Amino acid sequence: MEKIDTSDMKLFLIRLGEISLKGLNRGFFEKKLKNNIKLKLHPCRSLLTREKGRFYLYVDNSCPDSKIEFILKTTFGVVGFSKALVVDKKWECMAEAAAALIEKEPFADGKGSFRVQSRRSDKNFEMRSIQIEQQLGGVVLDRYPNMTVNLKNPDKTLYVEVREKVYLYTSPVSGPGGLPVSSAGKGLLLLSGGIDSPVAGWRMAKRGLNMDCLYFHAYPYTSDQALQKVKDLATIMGPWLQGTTLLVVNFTQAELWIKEHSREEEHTLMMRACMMKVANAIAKKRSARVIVTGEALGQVASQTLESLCFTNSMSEIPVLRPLIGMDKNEIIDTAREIGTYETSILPYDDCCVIFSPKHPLVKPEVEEQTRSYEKMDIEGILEKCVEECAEYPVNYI
Amino acid sequence: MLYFDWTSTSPVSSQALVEYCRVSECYPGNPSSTHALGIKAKEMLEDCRKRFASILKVSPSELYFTSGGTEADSIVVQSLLNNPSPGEVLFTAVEHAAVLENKAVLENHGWKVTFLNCPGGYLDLDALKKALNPSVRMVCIMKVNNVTGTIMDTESAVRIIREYSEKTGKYIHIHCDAVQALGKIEFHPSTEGFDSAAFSGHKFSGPRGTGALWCRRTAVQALSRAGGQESGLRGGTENLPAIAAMTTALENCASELVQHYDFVKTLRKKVEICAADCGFTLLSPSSDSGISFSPYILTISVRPLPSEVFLRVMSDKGFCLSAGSACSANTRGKAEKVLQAMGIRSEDRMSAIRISLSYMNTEEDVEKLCKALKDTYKEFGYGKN
Repeated sequence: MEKIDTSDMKLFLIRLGEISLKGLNRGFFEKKLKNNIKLKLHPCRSLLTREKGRFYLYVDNSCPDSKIEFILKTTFGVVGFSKALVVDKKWECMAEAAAALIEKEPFADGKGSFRVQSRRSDKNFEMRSIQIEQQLGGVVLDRYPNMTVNLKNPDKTLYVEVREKVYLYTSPVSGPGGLPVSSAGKGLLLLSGGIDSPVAGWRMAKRGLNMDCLYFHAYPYTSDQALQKVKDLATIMGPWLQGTTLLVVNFTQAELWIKEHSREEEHTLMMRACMMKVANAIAKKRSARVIVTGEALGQVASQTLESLCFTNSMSEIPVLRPLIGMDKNEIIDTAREIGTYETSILPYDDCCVIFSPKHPLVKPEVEEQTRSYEKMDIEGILEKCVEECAEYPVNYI
Repeated sequence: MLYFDWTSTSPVSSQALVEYCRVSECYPGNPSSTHALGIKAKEMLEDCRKRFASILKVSPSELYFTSGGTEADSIVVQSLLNNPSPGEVLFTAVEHAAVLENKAVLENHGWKVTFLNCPGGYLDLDALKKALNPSVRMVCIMKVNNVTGTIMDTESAVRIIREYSEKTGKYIHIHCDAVQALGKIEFHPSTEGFDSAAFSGHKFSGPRGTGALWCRRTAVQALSRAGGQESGLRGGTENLPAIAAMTTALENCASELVQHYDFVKTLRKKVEICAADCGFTLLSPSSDSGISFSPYILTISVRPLPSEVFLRVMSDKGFCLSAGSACSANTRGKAEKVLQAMGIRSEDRMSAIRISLSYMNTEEDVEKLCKALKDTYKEFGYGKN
């Protein structure tokens, strides 16, 4: 580890998973992750170094632990992290530090089994590893008499490393894993106010995709509360996405045109086709190479295989559908986990019933629908949608 | 903003506000306290009760102050749960949620809840006759429907129920949700033969969180007894300033009830003419129909536009209206259910706009409203030229 003045800083050890397995590209991923973490910590002073597949993150003492923990829990690429205490090589200091550490996660509930694992690089230190483990085990049991010792398969571990100083830390709090956002390039997420699209965005961000979000607003057919809901969803997703830009297209004229110039059972398909066209144009303007949607096979009429084939045909760039094979309940579980569910279920619809056909086509033919689309002659309206698209920056914290 | 949503709630009148402040300052004691300030507060409370009761033409000892119409309805309906054995209760199908939503609670306790048909918003008296049977313990009939303003023929309904009781010797409690009646039309629950009736203060320009229950049978029991306030029927320290303000508001309405009614009727007629002009369908009775309705409520259909879309634009233009019943606009389908029970077709239910009027609206306000209704419908590409 490089020499740095860390006297007024606290230390977090960050475990890297998939990134540490990368070959020649490892440096690229690590650099992305380092930048993502430091960007979120700004303006708090921080230093981040790497050693043996771990990051050592020093953060100014003035930065609250809760903020650091939130950042690490919402930064893809972090598999786990522990707060570490660095103390002088004295038994009293070690015991005091251990007592402070076990007041927090994962020891805070005082339940289950544990072990103390010691590594002594400095062989001159007066206590041997086994002695350190026994004595610190006593500290834990004094505080949590209901905990039990389990050396082979403990629920929690208190680690001690004796080097030029003594480093103490606990078994890691889970991070989200995945790859650092931006390591995979840029995409455009079609974000509605529903449950699915935020989850789709989250899953692609987990694979390193940086995304702008695109919402189609049709006031007065959809309410401003529906738009606010989408802004709130983008805000909740902001930390996961490393910040984003919410792009809002005024889609009212397009919807009305579709209603007037297509058969009722085709309305939804034509609307999806127009959305794809607009998304393609915006993706091009914003250098996004893929479109991401929350579609899941067979969930609604516009998500049958035939409908998806038609929608796909309207896009010049790949459309990624990370939820394609997921059940609704699985999607809901993730939505709850990432905190978007409660907002998604607010009763502000993102599509007005007036544009929803009673009996939508479920098995459209691509060629026939393409002819219907072309017959609408809607390009001019869609170009205007793209031109007048509004932007709302969403922060990463 | 021009306000046409008086059925949802009405702004507190200036006289009621003055009274609220005066009573807050001059009567700081708890009416249950035995010291001088408490006794003074108790006297004020009983004075309010007498004044309120005199407007209803009932005995003050039968009037209990509550937190609103919902609580008053719930006290009566949920009192049934104190019966040792469950029976049956009849609700008109168009009751407010304050009554209807008791269905699940009652059914969980073994009660049978039967809805009575109300085609066009009026109780089908034959359906009532058929539904009466020895297990029926209570019938709930609202006076003025909050969605369409239809006025129920409660006189005939009460007569049918009483005749049935005489024949069978089994007394049936008749409860009336009169929230949209009080302060707007003549309503005297005792004279009409009810056993209990619920009222809400904020519907006639009293403060929110106030209401009253008139009840002449002791079979009704408290939801919360607490310190035995309101003769043990509604525990909790009385909100004296709000009760006094509500009483003042009611007196104001009652003193000019006929003048207000006639004026609002002319306003309603104007809106009706406008509706016909635009091609809207009336979901409330028309003034010329010869049937009984409250002029304070007029519901129209702006088919094919969904009501929420139309309301959004009207709101942007400065008009406060609501879709069906405002109390349940957040719970999808509730107002729609009431309209469905009235036999109104699906397309009109989805497009239902409720315009509710007050004597505080001016003719000029209504003219502006009519113009906005017409313009808005046109802007969407509908309506007559």
